[in-house]
Amino acid sequence: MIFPLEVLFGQLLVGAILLGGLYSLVTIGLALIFGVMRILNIAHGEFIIFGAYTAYWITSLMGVDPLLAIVLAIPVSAFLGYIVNRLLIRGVTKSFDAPIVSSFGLLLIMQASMLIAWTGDPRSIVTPFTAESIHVGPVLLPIIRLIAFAVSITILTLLYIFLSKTYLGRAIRAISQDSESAATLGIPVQKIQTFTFVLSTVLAGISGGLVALLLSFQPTFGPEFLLKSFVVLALAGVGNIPGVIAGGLILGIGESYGSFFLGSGLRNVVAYAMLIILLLARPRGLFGGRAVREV
Amino acid sequence: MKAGAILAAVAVAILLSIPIIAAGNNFVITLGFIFSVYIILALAWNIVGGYTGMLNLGHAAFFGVGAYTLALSTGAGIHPYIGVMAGGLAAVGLGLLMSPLLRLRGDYFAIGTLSLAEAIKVAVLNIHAYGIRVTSYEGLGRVENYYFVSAVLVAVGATTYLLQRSRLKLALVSIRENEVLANASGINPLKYRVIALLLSGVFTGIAGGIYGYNLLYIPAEHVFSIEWTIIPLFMVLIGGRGTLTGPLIGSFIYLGIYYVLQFTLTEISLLAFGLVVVLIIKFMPQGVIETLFIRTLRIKRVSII
Amino acid sequence: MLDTAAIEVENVSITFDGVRALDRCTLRVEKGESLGIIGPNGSGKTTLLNVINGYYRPEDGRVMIFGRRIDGLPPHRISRMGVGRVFQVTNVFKNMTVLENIMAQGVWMKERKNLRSRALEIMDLVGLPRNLKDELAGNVSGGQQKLVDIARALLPQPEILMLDEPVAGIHPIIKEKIIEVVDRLRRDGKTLMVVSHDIPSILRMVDRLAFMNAGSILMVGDPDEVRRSSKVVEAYLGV
Repeated sequence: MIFPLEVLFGQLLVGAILLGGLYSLVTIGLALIFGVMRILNIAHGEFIIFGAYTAYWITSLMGVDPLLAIVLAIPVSAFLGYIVNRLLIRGVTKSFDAPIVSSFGLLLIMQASMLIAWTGDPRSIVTPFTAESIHVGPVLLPIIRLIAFAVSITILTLLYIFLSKTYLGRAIRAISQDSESAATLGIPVQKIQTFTFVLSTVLAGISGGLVALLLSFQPTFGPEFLLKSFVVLALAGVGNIPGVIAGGLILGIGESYGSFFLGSGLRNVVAYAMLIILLLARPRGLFGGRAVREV
Repeated sequence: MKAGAILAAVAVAILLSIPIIAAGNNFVITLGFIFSVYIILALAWNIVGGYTGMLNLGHAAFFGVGAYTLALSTGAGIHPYIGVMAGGLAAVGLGLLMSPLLRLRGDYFAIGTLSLAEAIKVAVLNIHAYGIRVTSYEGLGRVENYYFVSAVLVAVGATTYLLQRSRLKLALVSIRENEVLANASGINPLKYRVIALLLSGVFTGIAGGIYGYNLLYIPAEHVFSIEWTIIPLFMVLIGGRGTLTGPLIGSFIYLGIYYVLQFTLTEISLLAFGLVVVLIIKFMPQGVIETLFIRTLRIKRVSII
Repeated sequence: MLDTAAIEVENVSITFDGVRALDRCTLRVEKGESLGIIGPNGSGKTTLLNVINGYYRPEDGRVMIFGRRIDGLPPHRISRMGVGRVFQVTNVFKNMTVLENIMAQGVWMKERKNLRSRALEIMDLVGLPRNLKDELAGNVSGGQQKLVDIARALLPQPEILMLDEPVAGIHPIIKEKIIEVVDRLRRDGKTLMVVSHDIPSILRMVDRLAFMNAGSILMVGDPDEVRRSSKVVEAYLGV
């Protein structure tokens, strides 16, 4: 088979990059919690789906613009994040695996609750421009994907500035380096961890809202997003926003080309294969620092 | 010691007499079969997750590979029980494939194994979207399968008991506690972790095989489902890791709560179950053995196997 | 070879981030001798032990154990040649019992039997009460953890034992015990290297004393002579 170059490097690549930007945003919540609190939040995908539903209901019940609905959904995600952190996460953070297990429990709770509340019917948010595209030369750019990409990259850039320039951002980074030393420097570790958890759930919620604009979703779709986030996290290494963006793009490209050449059924296999090879070759991520031997 | 031996003998006697007591009641035998499969999985998961402390989230892959091997080998006309054992062997092969992941730190190992299991599931689903039917073999029905699974259960229990008293356990636990120090004591961490993973795999693969044969139909979606990882993991963590009694007690608590909720709160049983799990981890993060037996009842640690 | 020393370090140098941690360091420890090493912080004492144990590979020079060259061998090979080490920081497997901690050192040993009884004997030897054997190592006192650490190093019956600050920050009663144990090992003819800042204690554990500064051994000799030397006094006072 011969594929025209403009398909291979035009439409496919653009689509892959647009998708990849969203994957970066999908991951950043998981990466933040993992970096700052050393917690692998298995229920991460459920927060994304919850964000998707919240935006969906706000826009369909109140009739507001879908993008505004995503903004209005922020306090809801933040509240949920606060409650979850308060009840489930705080106090079980001593070992790395107790939080993993309790977040597994959380996954069950959230998935079951969403199934009970909203059934398993697939939903999606339809906007006035859902079917619209812009032509740039031979390439079609779906407006909705462009918006999702632009929003994702903007949020990640703002987050990067926040983490590197503000006092609070620096404190978060200090904790992710070494929480005990940070505590001796007078940084209120627990408060900042709470803040980070809430911030992460908000970011997951926003990415869920964007997902709802692009795809149809169901309560059981959470783990799929969790695994995608794992891949990006493994590519990025811990505590590295440019790495997360690059990781998201690589995943988007790998998936798009993978499903183009191997068939869409193997789309996820490509992602997981990338992840496993990476973990073995570069345990600290493609863009993460060199492994330090801990004695 | 004496009490333990008597208890074990009673347990085995009950296990083996269930088909006689049930007298052909299929429901009881099936329930006994499923419970035994879960307990095998919990004890097998515990060898890696408990003794070496590596959180294997890809355990379901062993189970699925076992069931799948059974399906393929009976399709090729091989005796089903030989196919079941072949399933164990295939799981060992998978374990070898997985073993490079054992070099990773705990949380990355969790990510890697979870993804590997999902990748295998998706790949298999891509080939056999609707599962494989298995033909039943003359004279090997529900009761025979029950005895087979009981034998596997006794074997994994005995293995754990022997492990508990072996140098292997010393090596595994010392690596779990402090890898650098263990290495300085002349212990090669990777070697012992691989041994543990293969032991865990062989029993899980056999369990997957006999489960598949008992079901006579092997849908990839089901046998590779993550529940074959999560349920054993919950059982072990509820009971207590790195012991023989911990996973056993955890299994009974888990199955008890699960089935009670299932019969009483059918609609919201999963939700309630998630809550129970979260509460148990919150209030007994080290499991029932540590919290109840050692701290509250003050049973001596060494007398717990 | 009659005159083979237990440990020979010849002109060993090693650099970390541009800092010369060992600078043509030369030292000879005779069989059955107990040698103490003193010197200011950062003079390279621990680095020297780490080179002998194989944790660092020297850039220059050579290290021999009983006449066999060992620099470049991995730590577990050197450990299995009979060189034990007790680290400055107390290291125990916290969630294993005291007895299991000691037995873990013997996992790789050829002989299968008697591991347990040998571990119990070692407990007696270092003065760990037998009723502690089933306690979790993380639950016994800091001094007792140090004894567990020493006991573990002794399980394979090493001919050479290196102790880095064995009594620093240890409760006086346990400190006495540790000094007694080391002294008994000395009288049993083991070769020992002891690094310590605690001069009164080290004098009770060693036959000879070496003084180290800026990565080299400046003086070796009779303990009293070394500690009264003007060089040593100067280095400590920073004159």
